[in-house]
Amino acid sequence: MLQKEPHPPSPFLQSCTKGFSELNSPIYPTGTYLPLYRTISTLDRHFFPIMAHTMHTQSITFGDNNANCNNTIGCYNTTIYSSDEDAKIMGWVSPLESENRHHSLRTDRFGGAGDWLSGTEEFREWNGGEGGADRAVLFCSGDPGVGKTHLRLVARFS
Amino acid sequence: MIDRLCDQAREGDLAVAWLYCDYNFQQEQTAINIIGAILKQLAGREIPEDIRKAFQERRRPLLEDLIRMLKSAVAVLPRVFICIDALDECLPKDLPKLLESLRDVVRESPTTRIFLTGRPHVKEAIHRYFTEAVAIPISSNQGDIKDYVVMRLDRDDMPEAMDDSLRAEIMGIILEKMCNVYVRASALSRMYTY
Repeated sequence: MLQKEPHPPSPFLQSCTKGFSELNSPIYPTGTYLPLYRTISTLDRHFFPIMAHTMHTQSITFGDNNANCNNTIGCYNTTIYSSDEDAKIMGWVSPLESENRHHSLRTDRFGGAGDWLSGTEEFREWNGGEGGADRAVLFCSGDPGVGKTHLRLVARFS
Repeated sequence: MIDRLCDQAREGDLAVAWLYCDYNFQQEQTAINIIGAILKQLAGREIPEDIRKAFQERRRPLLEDLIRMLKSAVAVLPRVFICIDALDECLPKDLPKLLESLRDVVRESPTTRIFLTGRPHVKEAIHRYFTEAVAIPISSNQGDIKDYVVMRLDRDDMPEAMDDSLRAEIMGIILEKMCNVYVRASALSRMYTY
């Protein structure tokens, strides 16, 4: 008689437990569950460091490296600088890049998470532009992982 | 946040610059680099002549130079939004300088809006430079989390390994632990980055 093999853990469960088996802190549930919320919010960024090394090839950068040519002009479009020198100049002005990180967040964000923000009175006041320079800042504060990075606005800007 | 702004930007009536700070790269996230990153995004295709010249002369631009260039870039754009995520993770000693620079830019173009996120302790510094900054405390939204966990469980590609009681147990434990687990999970996830 064939002995029925137990099901191996699904890839999903395996991925959940990977790297967390050594966790014994009573605050965490058993290893299986923890990474579910690991991926929910800003924590993701710690797994996707964005500032790798820059590599120029005729002003076009491939792969996950910093992409100077992927810099954006106010999001109208993606800019390919007209020469290597232009790309170099922009890298020289600042080594920080935003595009890759944003792409990863955009892909990871779930459904309507964070949509509530635009419904708040504070948001409307800020967006309305009243009060000039002193009121120019909207600051969303919270401890790590509450979802600040994933806030999303559904309002139309006027 | 950024997506929505970008949709609007494509319609041509606003410009957006954004930056995500990360503790792992704190040393690079100086005021001058952050202002430079914003300038890069707003200056667009045409590299300001001042910058080109400074580059050719191998002369590092000063923060004041970059602020001046940023002001000129902002002045010719439609409404500008500058978004900086995790402000508390930039180089701490440079935070006042950064906020002061942003204030300088906004004073010149008062319709510019600045969206910042960060841990509560940077609020004081922000208020020092933007006395009427609007602050919204964010706490984790149980609805968002529940929806997310349901989605992840539904997506499990071996559903036979899951049953209703395991599912209910997972949901229950996650929601119960949500409120106090984040801070520690965050610290832990950093450890796993290395």
